[in-house]
Amino acid sequence: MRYEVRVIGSAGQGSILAAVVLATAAAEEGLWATQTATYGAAMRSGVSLGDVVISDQPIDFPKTTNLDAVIIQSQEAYDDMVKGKPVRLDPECGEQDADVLVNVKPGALVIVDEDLVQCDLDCNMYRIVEAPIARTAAEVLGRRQVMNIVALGVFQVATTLQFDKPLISEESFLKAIEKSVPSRFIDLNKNAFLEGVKIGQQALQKA
Amino acid sequence: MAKLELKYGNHACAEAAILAGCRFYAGYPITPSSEIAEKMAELLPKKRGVFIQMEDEIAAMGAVVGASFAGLKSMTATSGPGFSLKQENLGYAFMVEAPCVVVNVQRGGPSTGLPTQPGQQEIMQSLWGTHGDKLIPVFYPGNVQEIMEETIRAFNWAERLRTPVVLLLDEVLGHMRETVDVEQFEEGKFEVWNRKMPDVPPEEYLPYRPGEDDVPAIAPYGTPGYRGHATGLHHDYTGFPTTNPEMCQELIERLIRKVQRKQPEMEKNEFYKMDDAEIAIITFGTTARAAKTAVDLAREKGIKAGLMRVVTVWPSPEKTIEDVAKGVEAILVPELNMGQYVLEVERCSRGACPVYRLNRANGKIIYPNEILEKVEEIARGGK
Repeated sequence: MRYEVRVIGSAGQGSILAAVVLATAAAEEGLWATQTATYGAAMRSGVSLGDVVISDQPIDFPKTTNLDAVIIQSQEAYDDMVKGKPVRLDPECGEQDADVLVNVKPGALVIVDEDLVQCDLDCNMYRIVEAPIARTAAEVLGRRQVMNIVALGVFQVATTLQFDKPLISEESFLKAIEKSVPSRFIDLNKNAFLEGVKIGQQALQKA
Repeated sequence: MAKLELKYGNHACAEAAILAGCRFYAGYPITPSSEIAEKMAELLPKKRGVFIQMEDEIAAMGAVVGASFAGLKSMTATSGPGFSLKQENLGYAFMVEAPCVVVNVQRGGPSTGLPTQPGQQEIMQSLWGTHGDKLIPVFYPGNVQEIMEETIRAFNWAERLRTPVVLLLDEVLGHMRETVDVEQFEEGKFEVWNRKMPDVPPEEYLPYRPGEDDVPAIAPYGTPGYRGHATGLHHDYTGFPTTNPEMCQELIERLIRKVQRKQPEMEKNEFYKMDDAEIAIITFGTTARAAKTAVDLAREKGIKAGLMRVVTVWPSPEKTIEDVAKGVEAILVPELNMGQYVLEVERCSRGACPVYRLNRANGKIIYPNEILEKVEEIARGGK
């Protein structure tokens, strides 16, 4: 089994931290993982991403080539993933046209923030899960910054669309959060993750 | 079951150095190696070790040689431009037989080049960068687990042979997080070698008199009664300069011989699907990971490809490469440079089969499908 995930967002949205937590959770689960990221100074502007490869055996090629799941946190990140010009911005597009994501497998899980991203993907091609991720972080948890961890909660539940049970258990994620964030933010992030699981379940029921 | 922990490549290198007994680090920060220095600055004081940031890489390498002579296991880490600056004192370390580990997290060169992107352009410089004849062991791990193994191995060989050892990484390895099976790094589960100490009384002590293994037992500076002298000039057993031709010839022959005679023990390769391979890929580091996937992809297409991943880059596995060349129809050497190790592979294979190249020096890694394309081309009889 080789499972490739990308967390992509705008600078400052914590995409790389989310990827680190995800890879740590995989390790907690007893799976092998590699985590790579764009190396650069995207703190204030631009698109930033963190990639994770998960496997039940040691991993050969450490970077992603064909994604099984992608978590998209902002419109500019979405546009960055789309092959060519997004349908939304192309006046010559017809109604039946849909966006295609670069280096993403057909059937892949695509998790998007339903308020921040206008997503014009073909739902027969991808398993699309839209959830109010940033809104939950801001309104329920009071900190918009934890939207990356809320997104991981959604991801955790959504992997049941591809596997019989979640790829990684809630417990492994909670342990990974303990290991990856500063101590005074552990509870906040754990709650963020659990809220993400909730809205993930709701989103799956809707879909 | 494996006990898996996610570790950052550069941090893993620092942690393993501490496990190997490293207690001195001098360096000057440079991307993509800086996290090694950061981690050492955090870990060394807790072990009563010394971390010092010097004014530049030249001074850092000098401090490492000095600390080594005072008896501490010492290391420094750098990248391309810093590695060039360290060459002078690296040669000095080889000449005065100061055990130390020099880590080079390779980025794109020459000059300041591509600071944030990977390269494999110091394969030749690691051995030939400093002037004069020499043989320096050079190890190149391929994953984060192996970064830890090879860091420990680098210290062990440095101490045992009293020589500098170069540990090559690349930007991808250094800046990658990966699961490590930490069980093998629990106390007592890995070997740590220490340098030998003089076994003669002070009055019979000659610092540079070699033992049977060609390695001298030099007392740490400051050991009461054991007086010594170190110089980059050719020297005799006392450590003082000499121009005696026999002495000078013997010194250089011994310095090279002490490493060369341990080559069989030091040699380390990984073979993947080589048993029935018709096309062998020989490479190292990050590129070898792409090559391994390419081997599987080629086999799916009915091409019998195999991989020889070289871990001990120098001294090169001369005999092994020759044997591989005799057993296959072609060899491909992909590397993130314009063709360096391929020269050594050509030399070692002695014309037994054609040797092809896949080169790149633009900061982008080689992907599995690119190696696959090249393998298919070779299989079709192209080049």
